[in-house]
Amino acid sequence: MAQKTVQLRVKRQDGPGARPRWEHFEVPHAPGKNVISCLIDIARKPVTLEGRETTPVQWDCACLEEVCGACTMLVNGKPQQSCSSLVDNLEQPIELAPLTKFPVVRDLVVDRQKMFKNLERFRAWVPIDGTYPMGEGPLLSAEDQQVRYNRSRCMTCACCMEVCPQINGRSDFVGPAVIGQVEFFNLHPSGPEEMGKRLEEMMGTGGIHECGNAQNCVAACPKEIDLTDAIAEVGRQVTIFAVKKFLHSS
Amino acid sequence: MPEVPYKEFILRRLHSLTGIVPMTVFLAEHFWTNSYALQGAERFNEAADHIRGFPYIILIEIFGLGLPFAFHIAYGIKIIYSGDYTIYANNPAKNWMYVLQRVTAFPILAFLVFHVITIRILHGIGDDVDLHATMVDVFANKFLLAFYVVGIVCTCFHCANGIATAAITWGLTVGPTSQKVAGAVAAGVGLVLSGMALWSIRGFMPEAAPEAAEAIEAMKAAPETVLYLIESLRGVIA
Amino acid sequence: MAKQRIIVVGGGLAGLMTTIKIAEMGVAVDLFSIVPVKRSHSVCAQGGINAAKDQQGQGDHPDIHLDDTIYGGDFLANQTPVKTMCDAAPQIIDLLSRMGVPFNRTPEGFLDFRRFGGTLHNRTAFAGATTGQQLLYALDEQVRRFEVAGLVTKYESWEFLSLIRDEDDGRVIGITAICNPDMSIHHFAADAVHICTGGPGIIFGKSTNSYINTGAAASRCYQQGAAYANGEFIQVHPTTIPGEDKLRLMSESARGEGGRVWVPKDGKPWYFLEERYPKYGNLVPRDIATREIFSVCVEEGLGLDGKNQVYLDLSHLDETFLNRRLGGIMEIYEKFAGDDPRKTPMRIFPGVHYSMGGMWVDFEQQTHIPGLFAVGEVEYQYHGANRLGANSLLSCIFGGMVAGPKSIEYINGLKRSADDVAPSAFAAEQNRQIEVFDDIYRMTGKENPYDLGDEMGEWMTNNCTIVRHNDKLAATDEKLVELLERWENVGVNDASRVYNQYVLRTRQLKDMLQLARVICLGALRRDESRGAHFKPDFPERDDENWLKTTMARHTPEGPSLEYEVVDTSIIKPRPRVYSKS
Ligand SMILES: Cc1cc2nc3c(=O)[nH]c(=O)nc-3n(C[C@H](O)[C@H](O)[C@H](O)COP(=O)(O)OP(=O)(O)OC[C@H]3O[C@@H](n4cnc5c(N)ncnc54)[C@H](O)[C@@H]3O)c2cc1C
Repeated sequence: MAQKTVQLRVKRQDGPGARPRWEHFEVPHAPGKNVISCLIDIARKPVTLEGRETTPVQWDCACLEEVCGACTMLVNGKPQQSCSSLVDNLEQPIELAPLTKFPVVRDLVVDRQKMFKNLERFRAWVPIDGTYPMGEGPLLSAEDQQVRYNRSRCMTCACCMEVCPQINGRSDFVGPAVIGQVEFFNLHPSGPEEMGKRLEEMMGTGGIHECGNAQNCVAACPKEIDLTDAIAEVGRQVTIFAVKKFLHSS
Repeated sequence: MPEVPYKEFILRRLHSLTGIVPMTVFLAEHFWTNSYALQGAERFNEAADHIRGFPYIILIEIFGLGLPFAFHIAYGIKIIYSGDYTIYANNPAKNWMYVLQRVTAFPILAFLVFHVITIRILHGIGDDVDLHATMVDVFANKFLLAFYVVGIVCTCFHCANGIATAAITWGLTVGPTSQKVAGAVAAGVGLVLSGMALWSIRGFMPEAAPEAAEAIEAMKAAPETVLYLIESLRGVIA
Repeated sequence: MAKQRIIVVGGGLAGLMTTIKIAEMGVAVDLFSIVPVKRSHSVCAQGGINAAKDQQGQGDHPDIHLDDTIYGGDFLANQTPVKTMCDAAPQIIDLLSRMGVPFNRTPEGFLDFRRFGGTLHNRTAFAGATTGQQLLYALDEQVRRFEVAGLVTKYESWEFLSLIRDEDDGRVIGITAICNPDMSIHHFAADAVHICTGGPGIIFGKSTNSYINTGAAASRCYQQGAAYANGEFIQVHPTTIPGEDKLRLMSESARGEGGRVWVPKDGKPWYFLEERYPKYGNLVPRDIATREIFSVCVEEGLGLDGKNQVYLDLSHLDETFLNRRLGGIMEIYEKFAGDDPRKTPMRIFPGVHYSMGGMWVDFEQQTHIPGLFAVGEVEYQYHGANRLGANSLLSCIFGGMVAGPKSIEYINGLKRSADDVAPSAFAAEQNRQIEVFDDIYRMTGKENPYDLGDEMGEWMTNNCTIVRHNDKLAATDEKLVELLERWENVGVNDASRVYNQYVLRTRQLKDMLQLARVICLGALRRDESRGAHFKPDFPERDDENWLKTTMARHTPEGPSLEYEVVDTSIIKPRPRVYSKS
């Protein structure tokens, strides 16, 4: 059913700490149109439905094909990438709002640096000796590759963080995404070297124990990463690690 | 005071552990004992006396039950405080479990305090207590009966869901299939426990038929009470 | 001399590899990127990365890789650096594998390789159909390690604005950049600067590129004196899904794994590529496949439902096989086109994809401006007149491995560090940039940068892509000049100093227009057909007159073009004929 126009309600916020407000827009419809195209249309002509002039809505985006994670926002209340949110699949007026678990920079732009900081904290890397020629990397079975590949598609988009009931101002849970990455790196044949450090950190502030098993994360992940598998697997690793550590401790 | 390393982690895992080991084991034992009531007041009182006659019972009660429970409750309140209670459309079932696990804690706590004070402390101390008679008196009050039923159902749910999530937390069930199976097993445990507990209430009914019938009516109302509870919660959350 | 620092602008594969190399050698890096580096355009790369590891008994060799690349690029690439790259490729794959990239594996656990366009060998290592994402993440992780070690400082959500050059010898001594969240402009000192800012696809409006691939950074360097080489060589990828905001790529790997291109003709599927190129089949180089699809649709009128579309068909292949090897792109097709490519053939058409041209660099990745290096898609060096699939990721990483150490060599040879330069030199450039932005904030005209950008994109796409005619190119340049004038008439309706994309886009647009002229005029001048550059009026390659590199220099009147001989020291140019079997 082709509509001539698309209506959107956008939650605006002029800057960090500013009071949010809602604005209503109408833009032309086109087949296959996505939310980002609508936002560009608004930028061309920033006038609200009521005819009031306003500023262009600000949003983040890069790849436009759901692999970079930049354009994540709440679309009709659901966290998802706005590039792959096709207008024809959405109820109108389409309601756009920034993610709620991160500080708003402006309008739909939020600051997700804490997710990258988490990757730092949990040593999300393979500790290679150097970039000089040292021969082939380790063999890996095709099966393990499939598991690693699944975890490796995490684009730090924050959908899982947004729906996690344990992430809020009252808890310091690091969230599902980074736990998936910890599993990813622990799975690498050179994992053991850093695995202990990662698991130890997982027992620290906001670590894996803060997970409440609501399992919203796995349902929200646009890349179908088995986040709950990863959480349980890391839970198991931490259990074993903690017991061993205790038994060996001096 | 020196910082205990991994304090939160250890407390959280202890919370899980205290939920599973003393709680589940104790519930099973308790409901089993209750079920003697189905064989008559004497058998029940005998069984209760047997338990109360355990060596070190007071120590078991304080250190094996009281303290772990107290910890489970205290830390549980912290957990409840740290959660969000939004239901996301894409995962309603599990999300509801998460919420219910936390929400049931309150009726359970109320019930537990009431039950321990009225039964264990006020009526359960001394040599010649007739616990069966006490319970018959309690259940004669329809309101209390409903309160008991709700308390029992909530406890069993909390326990069963707790078992399922503990299996994930500790890393026993990793994939969705094993988690589903564990969930079903845990639900089975919950059903058996609550079935045993609810059924044994019949053993505390006065012989007079009309009252028993009333009691059974009240029990039928229990699921509705639970549903009502959920519904009103939904209202609060939305 | 004070402690030296190096700036890397851009955190795609090229920028990250450069950063790793420099940090590994103990020199501190300031890394700038418009988006968090993990969201760089390199995530889009799907199909894979080439290396002649010859693990499938086909007798592949780096020399064959070299020959395929040079021949595929129609002999326009300088051969020496291409050879070094092809020789280094197997070690690069090993390194990536050591970094934990989840490349697809053989049953025994070795790396798997598939075939790509313009070659007869299975040479492409891949991680599903999201290889670029996987490689980018692996490099991002290594950079993060150096960040934790204090060697790398990231400036994410910062946009590079201009170079700061020493007044005496013209060498680079730093940059200015704008911090998007508060729109404040700052200067940064460094003894060497690497530009790794990727391609300019957005100049064509819709392309397979990311929204941030404006080419503005390259244009700014060009306007400050760096030469821009072979700008006219723009790759149009044969298989993309048309979209409102973007043309989404269906990787060449789809054909590498057995996908077939066809249109119905006389009621039967016509596999025109297979018929016309029996040896390479669907895997002819992109410029050729693109022209064939274009001619089948536009000239022969055989496009699907009369539209400019042909089928790319995977539906005859096994589902598990497809999911493991092409999952990523099938997801894209399902999400954006709404059909399941495992069951129905995909509808595709060519779309602007890649720029072979870019900033001119020497074999050490250094531009004409001392201390200014360029790496990745932003430079011109490895692909000649047409890039082979899966060679770009390779050239980005290889370029970084060259540029990093070379820049350290360069700074070690300096007599004066940027820190020894009077602070006023930095402040002057910073103030100039602040003024540029203040001027933009004051603009009150009727135009807006999005509509102007669309107009530029349409003109460029219509006249400066698959088929080029001199009259149309000339008209396009006139149009670009007109757009530059109309740019002065943009109205800025957003005074906010917080994350103001409108203002940033306005600034970028002007730089894009400047670069568009380079592309357009380069094409206008080159009267021959070579690789991606095809003029029906000059259908043959003309080595005598045009076996040379275009070098555009900025002047106030517009681009001035010079030419440079091509290094053909290894393989003698020969006619490029893929149709012979
Ligand atoms: C859809 C698609 C699929 C592809 N598939 C393949 C493939 O399978 N194999 C292959 O070999 N190649 C492929 N390519 C090509 C390849 O992906 C790119 O050429 C390559 O990733 C470019 O990497 P880069 O590091 O040069 O630049 P990019 O990855 O584009 O990174 C540019 C960086 O510069 C930053 N930047 C830009 N401007 C500024 C500025 N002004 N200030 C600060 N920072 C700035 C950006 O934020 C970004 O971090 C594909 C390309 C596309 C579009």
